[in-house]
Amino acid sequence: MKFYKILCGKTNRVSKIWRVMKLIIVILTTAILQVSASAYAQKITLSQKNVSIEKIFDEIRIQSGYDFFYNLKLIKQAKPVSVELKDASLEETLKACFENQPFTYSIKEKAVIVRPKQSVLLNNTPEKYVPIDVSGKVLDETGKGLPGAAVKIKGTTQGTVTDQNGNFKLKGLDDNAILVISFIGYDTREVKPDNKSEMIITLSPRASNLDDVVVVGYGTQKKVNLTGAVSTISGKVLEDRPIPNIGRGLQGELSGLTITSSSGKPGAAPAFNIRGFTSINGGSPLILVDGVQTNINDLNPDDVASATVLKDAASAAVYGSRAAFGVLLITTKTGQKGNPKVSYSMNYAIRKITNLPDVVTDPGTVIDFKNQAYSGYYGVNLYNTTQTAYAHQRSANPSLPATIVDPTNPNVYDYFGATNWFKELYNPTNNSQTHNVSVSGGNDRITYYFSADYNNQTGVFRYNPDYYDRFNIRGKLDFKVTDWLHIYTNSAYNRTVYNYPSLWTSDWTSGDLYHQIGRANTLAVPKNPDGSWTSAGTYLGFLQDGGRGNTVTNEPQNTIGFTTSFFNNTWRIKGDYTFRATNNYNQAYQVALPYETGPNQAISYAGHSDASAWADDNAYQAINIYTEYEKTFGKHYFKGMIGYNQELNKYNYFSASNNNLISSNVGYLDESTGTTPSVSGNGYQWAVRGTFSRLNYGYDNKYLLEVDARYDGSSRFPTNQHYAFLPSASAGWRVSEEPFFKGLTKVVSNLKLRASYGTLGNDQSLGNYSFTPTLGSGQISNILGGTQPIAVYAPNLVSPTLTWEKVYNKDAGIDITLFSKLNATFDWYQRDTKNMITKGFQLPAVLGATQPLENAADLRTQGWDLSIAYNDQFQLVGKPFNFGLRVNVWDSQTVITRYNNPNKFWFGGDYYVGEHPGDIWGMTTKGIFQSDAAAQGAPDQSKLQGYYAWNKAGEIQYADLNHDGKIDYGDGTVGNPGDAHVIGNTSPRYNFGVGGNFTWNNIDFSIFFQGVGKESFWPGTSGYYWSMFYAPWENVYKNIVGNTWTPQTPNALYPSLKGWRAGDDGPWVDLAVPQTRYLYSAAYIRLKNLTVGYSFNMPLFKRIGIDRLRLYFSGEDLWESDHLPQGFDPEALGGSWGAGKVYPFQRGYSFGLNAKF
Amino acid sequence: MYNSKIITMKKIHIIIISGIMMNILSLYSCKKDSFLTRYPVSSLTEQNFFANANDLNTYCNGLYSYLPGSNSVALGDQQSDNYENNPFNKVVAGQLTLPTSASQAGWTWTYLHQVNYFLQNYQKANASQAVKNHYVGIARFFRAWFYFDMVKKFGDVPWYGTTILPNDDGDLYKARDPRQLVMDSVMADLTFAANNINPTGPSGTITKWTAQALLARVALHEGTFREYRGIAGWQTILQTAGSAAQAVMQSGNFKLYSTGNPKVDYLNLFLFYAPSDPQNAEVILGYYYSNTLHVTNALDGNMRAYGLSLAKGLMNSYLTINGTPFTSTPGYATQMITQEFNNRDPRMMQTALQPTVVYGDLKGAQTLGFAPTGYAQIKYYDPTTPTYNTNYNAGIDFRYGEMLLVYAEAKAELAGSGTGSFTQSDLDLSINLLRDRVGMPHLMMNVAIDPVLAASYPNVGGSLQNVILEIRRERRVELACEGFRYDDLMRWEAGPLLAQQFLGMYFPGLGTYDLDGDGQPDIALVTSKPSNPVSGVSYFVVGTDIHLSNGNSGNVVVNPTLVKTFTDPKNYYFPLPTTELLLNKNLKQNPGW
Repeated sequence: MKFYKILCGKTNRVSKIWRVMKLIIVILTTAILQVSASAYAQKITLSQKNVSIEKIFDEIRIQSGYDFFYNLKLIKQAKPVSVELKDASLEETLKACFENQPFTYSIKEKAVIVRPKQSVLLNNTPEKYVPIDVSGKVLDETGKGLPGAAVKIKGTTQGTVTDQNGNFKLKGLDDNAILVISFIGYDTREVKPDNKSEMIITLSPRASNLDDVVVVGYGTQKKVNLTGAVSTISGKVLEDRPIPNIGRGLQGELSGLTITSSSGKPGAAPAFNIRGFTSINGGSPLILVDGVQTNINDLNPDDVASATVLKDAASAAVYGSRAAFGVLLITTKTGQKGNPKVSYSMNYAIRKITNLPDVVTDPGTVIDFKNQAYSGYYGVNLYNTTQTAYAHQRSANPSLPATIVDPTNPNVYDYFGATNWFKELYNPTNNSQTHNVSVSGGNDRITYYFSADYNNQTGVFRYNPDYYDRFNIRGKLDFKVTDWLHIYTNSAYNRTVYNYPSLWTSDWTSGDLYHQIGRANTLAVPKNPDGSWTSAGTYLGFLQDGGRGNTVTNEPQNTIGFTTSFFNNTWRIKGDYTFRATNNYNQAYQVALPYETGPNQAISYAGHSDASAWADDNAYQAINIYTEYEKTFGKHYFKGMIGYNQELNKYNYFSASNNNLISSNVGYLDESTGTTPSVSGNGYQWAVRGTFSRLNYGYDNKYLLEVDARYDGSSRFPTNQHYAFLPSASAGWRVSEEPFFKGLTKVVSNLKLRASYGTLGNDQSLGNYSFTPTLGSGQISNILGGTQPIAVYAPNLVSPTLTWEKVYNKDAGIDITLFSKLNATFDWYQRDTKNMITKGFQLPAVLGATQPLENAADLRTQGWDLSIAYNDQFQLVGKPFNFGLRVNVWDSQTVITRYNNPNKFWFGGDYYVGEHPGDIWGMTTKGIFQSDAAAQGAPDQSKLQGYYAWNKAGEIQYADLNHDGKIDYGDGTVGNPGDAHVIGNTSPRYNFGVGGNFTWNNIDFSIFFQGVGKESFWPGTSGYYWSMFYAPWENVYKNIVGNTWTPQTPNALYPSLKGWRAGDDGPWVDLAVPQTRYLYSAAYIRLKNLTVGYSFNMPLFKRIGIDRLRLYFSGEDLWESDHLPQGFDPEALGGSWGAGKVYPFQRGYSFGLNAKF
Repeated sequence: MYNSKIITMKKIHIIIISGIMMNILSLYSCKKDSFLTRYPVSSLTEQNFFANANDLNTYCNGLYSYLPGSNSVALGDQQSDNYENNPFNKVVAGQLTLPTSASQAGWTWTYLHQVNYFLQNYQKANASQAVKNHYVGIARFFRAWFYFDMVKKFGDVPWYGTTILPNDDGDLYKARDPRQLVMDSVMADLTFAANNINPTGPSGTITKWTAQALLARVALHEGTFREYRGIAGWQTILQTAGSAAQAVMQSGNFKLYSTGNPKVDYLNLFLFYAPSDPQNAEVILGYYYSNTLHVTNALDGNMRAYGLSLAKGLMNSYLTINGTPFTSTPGYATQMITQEFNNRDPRMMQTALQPTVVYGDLKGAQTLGFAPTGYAQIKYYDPTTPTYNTNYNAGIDFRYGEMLLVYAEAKAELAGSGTGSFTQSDLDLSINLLRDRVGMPHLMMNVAIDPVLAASYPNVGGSLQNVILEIRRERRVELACEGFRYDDLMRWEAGPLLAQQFLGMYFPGLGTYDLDGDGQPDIALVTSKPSNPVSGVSYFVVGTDIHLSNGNSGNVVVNPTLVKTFTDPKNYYFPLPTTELLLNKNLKQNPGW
């Protein structure tokens, strides 16, 4: 009490800082007192004359245990008190004491709150702050107390939580304060505090966020009314993460949406997929930002307000032909009425490569392995005895020089280094940073949102790495012209710059950097003693001195639109027009790199010099106009929408390159001197237009029906096939609204069953001009009139029956909410992709032309999506602990149901009926022969044998599955596969994302895991895996050391070490035979993100204008668990030069801050 | 007041906006949509090509790929009794097996598609009918040639005058059309071509005279084909052949190439490099190469190839310098290669390499391995080529000499069966011009019947049997190696001539021989390799390295174990590919296959 008085005394002089502190203390005290107050007795005896009221209060407190809350200033106006009471009740005592006083009181729990009498207005007093105490009870819809409801003071983070009976109490409130009472699953209420009586606040339930609105195609819809398969998420998942782009941030967050990145290159775009294998021609979801088809890779993640996935035909129907494989809708933030809100966030991340093969560099070990692998094939050692001996000496004594002059040839260097070329090539860490500023606000007439974003990522290379700069600005304005008309603009400008060393986009020696660096000899060193580059070191030399390339992308976009509403918002018309220009300009050059192979040698050069440039221009325009009518007539809810969409895209490109730069310092075409420059240029256009409509009908909020259709046209089809009619329908039954369900609503607060069926077309399976024949041209070989003239040739044939690839989609779903806290959605679906455009059945040769593509294949994908979210809060050490958990799991499987491969050849990789795309055909490995006798007695394996005789110890033994006494793959058909069978499948199954988050006491924490439950990985002929089994030149990786078969290591994973085993002799030979022994599970779980933040609510900051300041740590891809061989990243199993040979993925460790003003 | 104003405004806007939307929606009543009609902007299409005469010309340039280059015209006879190669030619030996795929069988139709596509689209061009007809003539010329080749190979073939669409089952799955119908179409095409193609053009291009020449060639083939199989109407076709050849002869544009040197003129005719060279006088259509444009052929490499060699039968066809058959000369059969070139038709030593002659890098009898019969081809071989496989002597696709032979044969065949006349003057303006060039005595109407020829072509009879046989000899000799012989045997129904061993040069027995006449032995025929071989002598173990027709003596037998067969009618046609028979049930295999 004393303490309180002191503080109160200071209020005269002080500011809001203390008021805030006070409030915190009041709340804390309240919470603590609550625990003990009920233990005190109530009878009071008083005998005082003309004492101060404060003394009386002290006396009462001692006897009753009741606290007094009052304002010192108020008390000073008190008259002296005389009182004589014996065993009185508290009420009686107080009544006596407060008689004739200018204030009154109220009892709240174990406290007496002293307040001025209503008639006494304090307006004329300098102190406006009058602390009041309130208490009350929060009830649910049945009148029972609601425990755990949050009672907060609006505009602050202060508040309390109701107890087991639903009671709450707050002390020392500003009487202007507003209480915000919220509880999961109930509508939030705001009430003015009332200190005169116990407040009774009844919350009404909202079964499964009844009023939540979901963005759907051309509009929004109440979540509860949805009948299609839709998943949505707030843009919050993207905030404050060191993600390079939105795709990486959405990974795992939406069930059914699979996002894969093929490399860790800065600026690399991830691939999106909705609901599994789409078409043999590929097919990806339509991605729209604010209703406009956009590349979201370069979008500012902080601009994202929500992301919605439309998964079934019914929900995607209004988008027609490009939505055959789902739609991803992104909406950006908009301004809200109110004072300007400024937000700044920044993030600085240190990145570190996730996985690289472990290279053995010890010269002695390496030279022994190289000799072994080499002599296995060539019969002689790669290095002679002198060299081998020196390598071993150097292993024992690393101070010996790594480079010596060849003892037999004074003009040649011999290298005995221990170079880990990965370490030479890559930096231990690289970094990225992001800055984002946004301003939003508005008044009754105008709302606005402006944002700017800068992102910089540096690549992984040690020398002169690549870098990527992204700059985004967005401005959104909404003018309320009249009550019924809004006009808005949504402008965005994006600029990216990617600057890179030339070598690894050009074929300067023999190709891909990640392949070459994996086989750069560890015995070699980057530089010679005289400082010149070695031959092997040219890989690094090019990074430093080999020229640079630079790609700049400029992308301005503007949407202008209007919305109108008439007749009490029952009828609306909306329209917009978008223009976007995308320009890329690339300029690059490379120069020849000098290197030396020995002393007294002429300088050699790798590569050549050239300059090149290319530029393109893409102009995209879209028009949307639609109208909707929405009305409820009694129990009938009706909403109809009809609209029109038109898009036109025009693209042009040119490129030029020329050899022989005059100077290696000026890498422009102007300074190139080659006599035969190479130029090219081309262009294309496409257009779509369609009308679409949607009809929603609901009866009594129970029975929901939606019918969608789009009459869709695409320029990619012949004129008589431009249009396709694509209808869908879906229905929902809200079982929980039925009378018979009433008894269950305590547990199951919402239950909805959904079903949909629909057709969508796919115009993406055709090129822009596949519908029309194009005539080829070229110089002829004949000499006519002394020259070789140009000729034009008959065009390719186009099937006159060529028509739309169509997708037939069935979906059945269930939405359920348990205890108003757990939301679960499950969908089963079947998607038939029919009439896929591919090679038709063979036609007679008299056709005289390459057979045109036909609508000749079908496939069926079946799968399910499940998402579960649980949100709750409880009191932890007197503070509300809000937490959420979410789980997304989805799966799909595809089977080819029609394809022109009558003999069902799987060998050769063609599709066949019954195939699950991604199937790996292979052999079952029994083990490794431990003796020659065992090998010779086993079934004949010679059909799979490569360079080496297989009938001996140390070689692989396959199972003779068909017991025909020989090991082979038959004729490579499904009917006669020999001993081969499907040993795995590369399609990811059981994709999942699991996340959790909590906030407590200014601390926020979130964690998110993502992964794949089932997937096979066969390393193929990747040198990163096979090491010297691939080629004697490959490096020695740790996974083979001690793991190759010898009589001493009979349990080795690999057979006897010899070079050229994995792939050199062709497919399905030796170790290039797919087999169970070297088949890995590519399933993984990865810690995608972990964020810990702390928000400061320091009044100090508020004084300088900062409403909120949050500091956080965020980690991206911090940890993973998988079953892959060492060096392989579960997300980087691709690579055109072999598995894993891609720009490496990196973990991100970042620190950042957000400030709101 | 204010409210009502709003409502009025609202109503107006609603009306306007609804109107706009209705308009937009009404676009969809029409099926063709110009907004969606987007043709390629950076490629040639049917919509933007065939605009003018230049486009027609550009397209027709692509059709010239059908023309045979030097390799075809200089080595075209390997599939005939003029050669005995190692390895042997499967067609000649009757060893062809059933092909499976269309490309294996030569049942390929892409070229026809190219031609027909033009004929379907040329009308779009903005050009005069005469100009259009010129290019149509070129296209029809090539279509005729394509069908001529297809008919020669397969007999009946389906005729397609237009391109086929993938869903045009009627055309895709139709049966073969009768040969007569197809060949009548071929000759109609050629007649159109001859009447409409410009009489002159850039070098290497098709002219009216090329079309006449092909018409003559085709009509002679078809006319005699029908004649020897008793198919009615052959006379008309042979008259066409004669008149087409005559038209070329009377055009005044062409004459035989001659410098008055019988020993080299024939050889030099085929060492013809550019249209400006004097040989061009004889050339109706040349296929040119250029060392400046780096467009060359590989004739020297192909002619030096292991195993390529001319047959003794061709050598025996050359008359003696007196104009009498070599085969009538006593002891001709046991003449060695060193003797038999003496006193012969000069075309012999200008076609085959005489062993005593050094001619570039060409190796003849003395190496045996390269030309196992001993007779290496010299015709078309350019000994001056600076680098291997970079010859640029032109291939002569049509020459005046052939026209003279067509004229003589057509007229003689007709006259021999009672249609028209054939006199010494006909011989003098055809065969005897060829003989004049090489200094050979004239062929006379009263020439004696050569029993060897008569035995070879037993179906030749009639009043002009003697002349017709000699015309056939002249044709074999003059056009040797140029790719006519197999077709000639087929149309003369003389296929059985292929079913025999075509021998090589004669060896009287074991021993060493000086074949190149330098006084040093070159080769030795032995029964076993000597332990101390003489340097410079190649040893051949008889029965192992070399086979002779009579054990240790006789003519060289290149393929001793080969049994050649010729079955009538099977071997007069090629087999159709089995996959195509499966795809099209209306397509039937040729007889015997």
